[in-house]
This record gives sequence, structure tokens and C-alpha cells, in this order.
Amino acid sequence: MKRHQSIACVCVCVIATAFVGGGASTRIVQPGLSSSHQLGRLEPGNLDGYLRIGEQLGGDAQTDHARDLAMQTLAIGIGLAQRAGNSKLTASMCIALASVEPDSAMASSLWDLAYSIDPDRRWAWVAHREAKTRASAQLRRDAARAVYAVRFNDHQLATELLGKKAVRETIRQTAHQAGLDPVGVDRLLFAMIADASADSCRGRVFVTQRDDGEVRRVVCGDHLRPIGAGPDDESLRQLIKLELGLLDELASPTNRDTWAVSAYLQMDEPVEDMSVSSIVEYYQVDMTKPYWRGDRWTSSP
Amino acid sequence: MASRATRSPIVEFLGEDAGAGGPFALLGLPHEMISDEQIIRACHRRLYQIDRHRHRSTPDASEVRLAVHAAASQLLDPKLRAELARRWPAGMPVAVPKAWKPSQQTSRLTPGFIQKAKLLIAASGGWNATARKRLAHFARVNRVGALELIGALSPQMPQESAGSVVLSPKTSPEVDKPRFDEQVYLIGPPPTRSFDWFAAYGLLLVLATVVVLVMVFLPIRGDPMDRAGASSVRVGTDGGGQAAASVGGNHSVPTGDWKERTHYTAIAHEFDQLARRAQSDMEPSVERFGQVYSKFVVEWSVFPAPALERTGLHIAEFVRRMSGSEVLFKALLPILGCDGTQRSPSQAMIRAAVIDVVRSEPGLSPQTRAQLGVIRKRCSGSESRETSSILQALVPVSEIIGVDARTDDPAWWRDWIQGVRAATFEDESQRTRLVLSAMSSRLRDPAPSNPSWIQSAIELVSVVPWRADSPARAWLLGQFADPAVSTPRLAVLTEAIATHSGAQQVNAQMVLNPSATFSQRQQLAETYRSAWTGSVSGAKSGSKPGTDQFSGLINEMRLRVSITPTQMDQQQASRAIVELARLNTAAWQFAQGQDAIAADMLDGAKGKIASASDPEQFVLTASQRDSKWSQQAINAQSASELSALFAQLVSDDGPGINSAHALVFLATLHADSKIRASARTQIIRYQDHPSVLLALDRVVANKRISSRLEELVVTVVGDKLPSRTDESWYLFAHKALLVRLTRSLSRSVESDLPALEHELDLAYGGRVVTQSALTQPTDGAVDHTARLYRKMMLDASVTAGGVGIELHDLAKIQSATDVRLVRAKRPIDGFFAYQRGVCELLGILTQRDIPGSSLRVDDLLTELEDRLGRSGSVIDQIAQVERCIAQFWIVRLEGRSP
Repeated sequence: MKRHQSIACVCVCVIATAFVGGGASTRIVQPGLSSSHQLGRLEPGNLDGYLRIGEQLGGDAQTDHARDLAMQTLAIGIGLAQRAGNSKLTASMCIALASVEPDSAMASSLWDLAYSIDPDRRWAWVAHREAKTRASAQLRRDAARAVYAVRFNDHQLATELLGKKAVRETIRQTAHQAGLDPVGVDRLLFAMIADASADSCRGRVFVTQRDDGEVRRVVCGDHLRPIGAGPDDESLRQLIKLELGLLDELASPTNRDTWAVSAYLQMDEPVEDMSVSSIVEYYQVDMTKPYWRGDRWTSSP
Repeated sequence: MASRATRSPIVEFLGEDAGAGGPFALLGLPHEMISDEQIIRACHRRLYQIDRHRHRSTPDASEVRLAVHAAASQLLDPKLRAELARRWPAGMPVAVPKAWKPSQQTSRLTPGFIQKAKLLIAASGGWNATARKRLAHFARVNRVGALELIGALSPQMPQESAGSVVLSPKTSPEVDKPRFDEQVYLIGPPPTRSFDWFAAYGLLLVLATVVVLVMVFLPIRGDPMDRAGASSVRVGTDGGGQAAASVGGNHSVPTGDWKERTHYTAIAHEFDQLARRAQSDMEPSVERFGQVYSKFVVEWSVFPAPALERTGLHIAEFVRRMSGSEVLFKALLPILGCDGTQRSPSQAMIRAAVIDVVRSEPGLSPQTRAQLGVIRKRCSGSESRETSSILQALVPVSEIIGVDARTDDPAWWRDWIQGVRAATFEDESQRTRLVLSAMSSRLRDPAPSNPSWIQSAIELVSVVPWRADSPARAWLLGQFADPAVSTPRLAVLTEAIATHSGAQQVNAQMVLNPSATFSQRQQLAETYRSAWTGSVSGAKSGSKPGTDQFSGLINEMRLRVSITPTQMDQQQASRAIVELARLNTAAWQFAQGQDAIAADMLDGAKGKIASASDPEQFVLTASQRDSKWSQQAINAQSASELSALFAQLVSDDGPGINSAHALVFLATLHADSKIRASARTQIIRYQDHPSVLLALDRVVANKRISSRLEELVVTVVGDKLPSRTDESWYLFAHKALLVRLTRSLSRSVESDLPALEHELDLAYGGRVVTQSALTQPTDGAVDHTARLYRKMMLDASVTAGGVGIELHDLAKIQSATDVRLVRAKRPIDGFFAYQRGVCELLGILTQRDIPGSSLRVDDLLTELEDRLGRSGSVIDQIAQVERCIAQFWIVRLEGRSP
């Protein structure tokens, strides 16, 4: 009898454990309820709360809406912390926001801002930039190779590389950063590939011709455009600018007589520093509404 | 002692000129007067002259004060003034340089001169705006007052001017003495000097008696406060019984309100008595205070500074004593405060300033202070700044009232100017600053220009000195450069300056067109700048060389800073950058003790900027000639055959697109070593040609790289590359060729940037190394800026943690520069990143080196942030940073004047 009781006890314990464990795993099923509850506790008097809750929401986020909410929380926290003169907390929240931000360029900018605000983050910033460079280096090289292949009428290589979504996305992002129209660049590249596929020379400058037993090299007369150049001067300028951007070479020539390059590449736009106000603008948050009430940000508790 | 005994008190206190007899001489005024304000100012000056005298507390002083006041009272009546002008000579202005004093010898209003002026009117088509402008200019260049000239031209005036001291064309051996034309005067002047004095004393005695009666007895009549009234009697009778000057007849005292004649000393004395007796007779004192205070706020501007300061303290003391009683203090509040309908700015000024002084009293309760703070806000709309000095309180109040003013009413501005004159007393620079602030505000008013603004502008520009050392010049140039300034309003201001200010080197042509474009404004600014800069260098001759360079440098920097607009096109920005950079380098050299180099830099600061070189034309299309050449070359069998072809390249200005491919093939793949070598030579000759670079770039992507190709690429790019067996060879070779191709293609674009880079290379080189770098650029502008940045960072780090520099501030500059460098998108961004770092470091070093400069440095950095945010291009931003560096140098140089 005792044996039976013992077995029954063990079974009950196992079931109870399974139930409890199962119950714990179901908590994340209702993030909305949980996040609303947490957000309701936010108040400007406790700035740490914005960091803690923002980080937690960002980590748990499974939908775009949840991620947006986490980013808004952190963005408001950044503004409030900066207003309070708390540079350490502001920098921490910038880094937390960078970890949630899906756009890698914006994430990098947030890291830059964190380092600008709090110089003690130097090594973390350097490590982030190196990691980012390493992670994207191969992709950027592939994208640059694709542009090169398009220029030199290597139809096969260009098609292969541009067939990758990541390469295309990298090209679009770089074009945007370089001040080019990403859609226009896309269109130009694919138009050039189409031309190259119709070009019987297939990237060759000279072809061999036999004339009365004599072998001669002659210029392949079917080129639609010169090898290595674009359909026109403006297209060539855009392709070079894009390729330099992909190779991180836009700013690198630091020796003499290089400023004319800026004029050729038509890059005279003003330099803009990343600032807290630009974060507030980017995430469209209102610093006068730091409370979360009734599923929206409000100005009063 | 004997000589002193024979001198009258007037001569003793006011000098010989004042003792010539009559009210005009006493006040130092001419017969022709433009306004009553001129009389009040003259009275104010004479009283101040007495207050500064060592015997100012004697009965003689009081006697002369009363005489001065009596004379002013007489002249304030226009009819009586005209009558007195026929009897008494004109006076010599007080404290006017001798060269300005009217003299018959220097008078140019001769019949010939007036004839010329008439011809000018005739040539202008009659009496119209053109004629008026030309006349004004004509008067200016001949050093004659425009009003004087116009007066002489009118038909009735020549007769009067004939008898006038100023306008008489006749000459006299005694030029320093006033002359009187007996044909003009109805009653001739006293025949001898002694009789003159006798008459003057008699007149003064009668006048003083009348004034005392008016001041003292009339208030007593309707005044319940007998003792206070009696005190006024004492003030008047202490020394005023003998000195009143009267011109006799029925004109001894002009009729009018008694308040117009009350002397400031009486008011000051009233407050003194009220403060003393406030404890014993509290309730009646408040009533009396109300009467005297209302008089004071009207008359305060005639108070000399010491009397005004004393009065402020007496009022504060009185209010403090009254604040003990809640009822009485409540009764005081409406007396002290502004009622909101106050239209006189000078009255609002003094009311606000008095409250500031009262609030500085240590014995006031917080509640009392708060109540005073509330009524203070109604006066000027600004927060109270507690101070025990009424003059110190008046300056910020008058500034805020002037800047906040939204009116062009000339009467309002006259009143404001009167208040500012009283508030700033003898501090001309302070007065200039206040008026310039107010004018800045009016110029930015979007309301259209109107006739009232024309009058007000004339009033305002007349207050400001436009001398070479005055900040007004730099201010005006700054207004031209600021897009926020309304062009029609600025046009009116330039007209007022050209015709009414007495500014030198400005003529009637230098008036802005109300519909001028911003570019035309800039051109006129340049005209002003040239005119005034010329005068600065002209003024320099004859002074010491070191001081000469120093002041010349600061003046140049100020001017350049002022005329640098908020937004510029590339050409304007490039010019501003170069001029500012040269000046900054001159300042740097000056600070290093390299005066000779600094002088050279200063002389060349406005020199020409190297012009952009002609763009090169590259054709990247295949022509028939190019195809033919490339086919002949690639199929050539011998080096001699090729030589003839290479000669063609010279005439074709380099290889075409297909020819370049042929050359690369020959240089790397041909079996004949001679052909390879000669093709290689041609490639190196045309290594900057885009066709050659494209052809090389095409072959570096090959899987097998020959040693010949590797060597050729390294030679062309002029840089080290990894070994050709290394996986990264292609990447590095391609990058290097692409960068070189970009630079080559950039030569096809016309741009000022290469010239600008060269100039900045020289300028920043001059700040980093020795003078050899001034003439020989070596490492490029970016490199020189980076070296300067590191040098300054090191300098600042050495003293960091001590006085003036926080390590954290340096770390922030370092981090910001690091971020800007990694975010740089083009070579010029690298320069900008280091240049901003240099600017911020210079700010920190200025705070360290120049005590008290922290606020100024912070303001300049804030202004820089604002300007950078509004810039439309990176070139514009570089100009703004260079401007900020120049501002820091001005602070440094002024703080360490040699």
C-alpha cells in the first residue's frame, strides 16, 4: 500500500511539475498584457525604469509593434535622461536602442551617439564597429564585385551576385547613404545587365579574326558601350560613387589634391552630427508625453 | 588767491566761456537749437560739471546750479529764447573738441558756396529727393551741417545768419570770442566786460529768486506735508538767493507748469528727508512719497549719476522701512509699479530699475520681494535682477525694453534714447551697445518700412559713434550679412547713416536699394568694408609698429567675422574660408611672437585665391580612329612599328578607350620584351588617363596575375599592395585603381575645391610647423589639420585637471572627433572633423588662458552650432567653423593686448 502511495505521489509531483513548467512557458503568449503593465509603471522620476523596461520589451519583442514600443520607450528615456544631464544613462539607453533597432546604419549611429555622449564607452564602441565591419565586409565586397561585373559587362557574374537579396539590399542601403536614388541605381544596374546579355562581345575588347590564313586581333564591333564605363558620364559617376561606398573608400583618400573628388561625386551636403534631438525626431516620440496610459503615451500620469 | 578773488563763481565752476554773459553762454548753447532735449542735455552737462568740481558742496556751487537751471528754464520757452538770442551772445559747446567749435575762419557758408548749392538744386531738377541727397553729401564733404546749409538757402535765413556767429562769412582777428553784429541786435550788448558781469549777476539773482519761489512755495500751498515742503525751501534758499540771472524786462520767467522748473536737487533732497523721517511720520510720508516719486520718474534723466545713485538708495531705504507695515506697503505698491498703460519707455526703465534696487535691500521679507517681483514684471516684462546700483539696474532694463520694442514711433525712441543716455551716463561703449541691440531688433521686424522708421533710424544712428574704433562699423557689416535683416529697413538705416550720422568714408552713393537682392546687399557691404578698412589702415600710419599690426589684425578679424553670412554659396564660402584661415594663422603667429610672419599673413589676408584650373576633357567613347589605332598596335610585329603609332598618341592627347586595352595587352602579354617595355613606357606616361586606368582595372580581376602586371599596377597606383599570390590582392589593387580613376575623372569638373584645399594646406601648415611650411605645402590640408589637432590636444591634456580644463571635456572632444572621422563620407569630411576639434580645443584653451571668458566661449560655441545647423553645404560649415576660430582669437588677442 505504501508502495502504491509512493508511486502515486511521484506521479502527482511529475504532473504538477509539468503543469507548472507548462504554465511558465505560456507567459510569453500574452506579451501585450505584460508590456502594458510594465509600461504603466514608467514615470520620469525613475529614469532607470525606461532603460530596464525598454531593454526587456526589446528582448521579448516578437512583433514589429512590440519592437516599436520598446524603441519608443528607450527613445523617450534617452530624451529624459539627457534633459536630466545623466550622460551615463543616456549612453546606456542609446546602446540598448541600437540592439533593438533593425536598421544597421541607424544602429551604428546610435553607437556613435553613445560614444559621443559618454567617452568612457570608447572600447565598446570600437569593438562594435569592428564587429560590424567584419560582419558586413564579405557582403559589401560581393556587392562591389557585382557593380564591377556590371561595368565590365560580365553578365554571368553580375547576374549571380545580384540574384542574392542581401547583396541587392546592401547596394540599396549604400546608394542611399551616398546620396544616390536607390531605385534609380537598381534600374541602371539591371538595364546594363540586360544590355550586356544582348552584347555578343560578352566583355571582350578584341576578337580573333582569320583573314587569308593570317590571324589578326580586331576590336569587337558589337559593344553597346565602352568596357568599364557606363552608358553615359552621369551613370559612370553614379557607379563609381556606389562602388567606392561599398568598398568604404569614399573618405579614405586623405592625401593631397583629393577634394576635387567631392566635387566630381557631387558630395557637398552638410555634415550632420547624430544628436538626441534627431533620435526624438526619428522615432517620432513626444518628450512631453512620458507616461503610458490607456495604450498610448500621455502627458499626465 | 588774488586772481581767484576776482573770478565769478560761474567762471570758477564752468570756465571762461560760460561767463561771457547770458543764458546761452551759461549753458554753452548756440542760438540755433533743434530741440528742447538739446537744452536739457546742456543743462545736464553743466550740472555734472559742477558736481565734479572740488567745491561742489559750497554755497557758490548751489548758486551756480540755480543759475544754470534758471537759464535752462528761460531757453525752454521758444518765444523767450528768440528774444534772448537778440540780446545775448551764443555760447561755446561744453567739452567739444576745438576743431569742432564754430569759427568764422572755418565757416564755408560763403555766398559762393551757397551759389554752388543752388546750382546743385537746379541740376537736380528743383527741390526734390535727389536734390536733398546731393545737398546732404555736398554739406558733408564741405564739413557743413545739412540743416545749416538748408537754412542758409531759404530766403529769410541769410539775414539772420548774417548776424550769427556761426554763419557770418566775415572774419575777425579775435576768432575765439563771439562776435555780435550791432545792426542785428535790437539792444546792444554791454560795452565792457565788467558791466556784462554786473548785469549777469543781477539777472541771475532775480531768476534764482523766482525759481525758488516756484519750487518751494507753490507745492506748499497745496501740500499737507509742511515739513517736507519746508525742507525744499531750505534747499532753495541755501545758495540760490544771489545767483539767478535774468535778462530783465517781462521775460524773466516763462509761464508754465511749476513741475517743469523743479531742480533735481530738490527731488533728491525730498527722498533724503523721506528716508530719514519714514519711521516717525509713516502715513503722511507715503502720501508725500507718491507725489515726489511721480515727479522723479519724469525727471530722472536729468539727474547726474551720483545723485541718481543716492536717490535710488534713499528710495530703497524708504520702501524697506515701510515694508514693516502691511497696509502702508500695499499703498506703496501702486506708486512703485507700472500700470501697464505706460507709454514712456524712460519711465518704465526707471520704475523697473528702482524695484531692482529696492529688492536688493537685505531687510526685505520674501513675501515683500515676491510682491515687488510681480509689479516689476509689468514694467519691462523681464525678471528682476537685484542690484544696489540703480545705474547697473538701468542698463539691462533699457536693453530689454529697446529690444522688445515693436514700434517705430520716433517720439517713443527719442524718449528711450533719453533714458539710455541717462542710464549709461559717460559710458559711450555701453550706450553704443544698447542702441545697436535695439537697432538689430528693429531691423529684423518683418513689418514694412514706414516714415516713422525713417525718423527713428535718424534718431538712433545719431546716438552711435561711427569712428574707426567703434563696434558700430562691424555691427553694420554684420547686418548686411544676416538674411534675417529686412532689406527695406536696412535701406532706410543706410540712408540715415549716409546723410545723418557723420560716419566718415560714407557717401550718398552708399545707400541700399529697398528692393536689393541679398547679393546686392553683400556688394554694398563690401563697399562699406573697403571704405572703412582703408580708413583703418590709414589710421595705422604713424603709430607704433607692434600696436599697429595688433589693432589692424583685430579690426580685420572683426570685420571678416561680421560679414560672414549665415548661409553662403560655394564661391562666397571659399573666399570666407581662405580669408578667415589666413587671419587665424596670422593671429596664431602673432601669439607665438612671430610678428613679421603675422604681418605678412595679414597683408596677404585679402589676397587672391588661386583660381580653379581649366577642366580636362576625357572622352570615354570608342572612335573609329581609336579602334584603328588599337588594332594596328595590338597586331604590331616590332617595336619600331609601334614607335610610329606612339607618336600619334601625343597628337591625340592620350590613348582612347580601346587603345588603352591594346597597350595593357602589349605591356603584359606580348612575347617580345622590347614591345612590352615600350608599351609599358606609354602606360606609365598616360597613367592618369581614365582609359588606361579602366584597362588596368579590367585585367586585375583575372584569376592569374603575372609578375609583370603586378609590377605595372604598383607603378601606376604608386602605393604598396599585397603580394599577387595573396587573396586580397585583387581587392586592394582594384580599390587603388578605382580611387585613382575617380581623381582622374574629377579633373574634368571645374571646381574651387582644389584651390581651397591648397590654401588651407598653407594656412594650417603655418600653424603646425615653422615658417617654411608657409610656402611649401607638403602633406595636405587634412594632414596638417590632424597634426594641429593632436598638438593642441596634447597641450590641453598637459594642464588638464588643473585650472580651467576638465579631462572629461577633452575626452568629449576626442570622442566627437573620432565619431566624425568614422562617419566621414568624403575626403573633405576628414578635414572638417579635425577642424571642429581644433575649434573646440581652442575654446577650451581660451577659457584656460583668458580668465572670465567662459561665458563668451560658450556663447560662441552655441552660435556655431546654430550656424552649422543652418548651413547648406560642407564648405559653408567649414567657413562657419573658421569664423568661430577667428572669434576665439579675437577674445584671446583682446585679453592679452600687447
